[in-house]
Amino acid sequence: MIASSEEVKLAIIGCGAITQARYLPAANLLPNLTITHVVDLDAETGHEVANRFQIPEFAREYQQVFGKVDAVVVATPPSSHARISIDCLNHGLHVLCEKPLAVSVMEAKAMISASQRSNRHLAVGMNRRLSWSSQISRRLVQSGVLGDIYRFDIEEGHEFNWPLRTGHIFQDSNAGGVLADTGVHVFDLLLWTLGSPKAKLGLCRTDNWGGVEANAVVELVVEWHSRQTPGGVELSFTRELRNTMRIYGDNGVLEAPILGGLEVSLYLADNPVEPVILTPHHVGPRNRVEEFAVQLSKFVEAVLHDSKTYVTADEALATLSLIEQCHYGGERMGHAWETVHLEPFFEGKGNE
Amino acid sequence: MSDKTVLITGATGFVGNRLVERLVLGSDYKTRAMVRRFSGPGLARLARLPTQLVLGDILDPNSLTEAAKGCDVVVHCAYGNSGSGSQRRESTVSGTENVLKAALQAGVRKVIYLSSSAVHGRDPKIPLVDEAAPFKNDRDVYSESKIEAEKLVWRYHREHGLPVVVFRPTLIYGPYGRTWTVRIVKEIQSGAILTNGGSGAANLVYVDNLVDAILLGMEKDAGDGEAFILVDDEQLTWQDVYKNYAEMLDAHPPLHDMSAEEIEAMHKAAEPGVLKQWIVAPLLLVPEMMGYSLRSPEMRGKMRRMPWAKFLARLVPRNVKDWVKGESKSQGQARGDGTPSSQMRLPSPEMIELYASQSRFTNEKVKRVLDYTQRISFAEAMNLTRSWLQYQRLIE
Repeated sequence: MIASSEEVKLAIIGCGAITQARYLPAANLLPNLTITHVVDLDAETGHEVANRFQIPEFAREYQQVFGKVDAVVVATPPSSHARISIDCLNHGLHVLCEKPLAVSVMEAKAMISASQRSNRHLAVGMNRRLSWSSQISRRLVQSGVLGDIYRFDIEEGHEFNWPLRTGHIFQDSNAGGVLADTGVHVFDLLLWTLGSPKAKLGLCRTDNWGGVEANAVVELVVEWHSRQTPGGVELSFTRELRNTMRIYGDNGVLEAPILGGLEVSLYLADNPVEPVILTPHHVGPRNRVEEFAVQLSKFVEAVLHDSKTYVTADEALATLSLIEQCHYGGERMGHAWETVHLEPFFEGKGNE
Repeated sequence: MSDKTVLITGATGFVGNRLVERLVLGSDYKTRAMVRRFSGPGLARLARLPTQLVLGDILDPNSLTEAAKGCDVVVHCAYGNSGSGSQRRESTVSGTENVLKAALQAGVRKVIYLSSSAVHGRDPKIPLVDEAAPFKNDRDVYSESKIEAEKLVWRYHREHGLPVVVFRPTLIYGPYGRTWTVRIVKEIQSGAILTNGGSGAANLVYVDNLVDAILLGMEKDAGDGEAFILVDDEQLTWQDVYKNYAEMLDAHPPLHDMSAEEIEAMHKAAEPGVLKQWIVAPLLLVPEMMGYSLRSPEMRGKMRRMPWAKFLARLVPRNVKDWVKGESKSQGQARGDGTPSSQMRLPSPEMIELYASQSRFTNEKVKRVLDYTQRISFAEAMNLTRSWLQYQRLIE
């Protein structure tokens, strides 16, 4: 299948929350994109979603779309991202894969190889970069307004409430937990804002007791203009945290909402108490659906005109590597209220 | 005891979550945690553990039958805590019956049922409440449905020989506790009122102490077919409890003392109606007027909105008004913790009844029958709770 010069035919594989709440509403905003198929192993959900969004075809197996579409969005649970993406790339389809790109660096590298071999685009869903506050933060940091960057500090934490259809975030030790879910966004935003592809893990502490972590505290060093810049990242699925990114430079501190927003604070060194508040003159994407529309349009541009304005799989590698290091080298947080009296309780207490 | 599986309903809740933690980290039992949906902070907390997560609903008998298969013990913590009154009642009552049926069908060794001291009423009106005290219906969904559910448990025990152990915990507090931990802290932060000066009996139990008793109930046969009240040893008043929480905060509005009658009078005065506003409320509020200078801005505001109060206020000489204001201000300053917040709320009639109760619950039976001893004192429990509140960023 070759894309016509004006329109891309797309299948969305996986009909979970991200497809229903983001990709399908976003696709409606784009003139040169037609979703021809939705794919899901659960026929009932797939049919319901196809009917609700007026998608012409439903398929139970993704292989059924081969030869019928130009490109796919892979929005299945992360453990199947690599297998499905590689198969689609090998069958000549361009792939936009939801984050996290893969559950390991090795898988991600195999996906990149498949993309190169097949000469097809492999884009990664990293919508957070597209918010106004993320865009302006990167511009300010890159412009040198803050001077030399010497530290960063990011917190993102909420009581988890995303309506998951499958429990992968809570059951998959590689692709689940707050690091793989939230951390993948936060690490990507940090590296992209600083314009650095290089980061090294210092320390990672999580509250994982043998399942998947709900809280993580990470210390890392990012290379910024050949300087080693240290900083911290705190993530939570159970607590409301500050939810901002702070970048500290010699000339001042920038604070931006980590989830994206329309206000960025600049605490300049001459008056660190009263920030300069920046708000947009022209608003770009105003909400998540519009961010996904921009993300899709960049992918459509790539398919139609071979451009590369999307987030590449190579960029995702650094983030995945950090998360992998956290998983392998993480220490356990010890909270007194959790560990108190955990000694075997039944010793001497059971039936004689 | 090894390799036996425990099914926990309500595993994402306050008690269920801690029970799974304790079972996984401190026993050889395997755990199967039933969850209604793959979302929520309770699930995020639970999923940190190597526990088996099964999707199910106590209102779906098939999911329960599947979940109970091969289990040694079922600990039933789930109850209706969301939706309309009839939905909550259905979850608590029909849900419990579904759990009992599934347990019977699966042939489990025993069912531990988490009832509540609420089956004896908010204010049992007897000095010492033990397990033999009668059920007292408070005419609200929670207590009515918990009574009905516990009766079902006993019926299945009697008629079907299902081994059961029933725990009736009093007010449970500690890390992740909403009502008796987070709510109290938030109340103090916005200005708390102590009913009758906080002199009522605070029948609290720290979550880990309750879990200790549940573990004993699982393990020992002596408790089978019995109900146990769970309350901590310390005979606390509400003043003890609120002051301990208040000490965790750097700054907060003063704790206000009001009698139950005064609070009820304020409630009645706030109700609409010409008759009430012009005739009943003034009579009820005479004692209030006497203590006007002690009232919070919110309550003074309410009083000022009464038509008769506006009329009276015009008659009061300015110097008297200033004196009243000055007196009020110095009161706040004397306590050194700022002015009362306008977010202060009057306790509801139900809470007044609970806070004013002088009845004390006893844990004598659980000690005697299950050899239970309280391991975490109030002081230690409050230290642990404070650490959690700080971690949760609810206090500094």
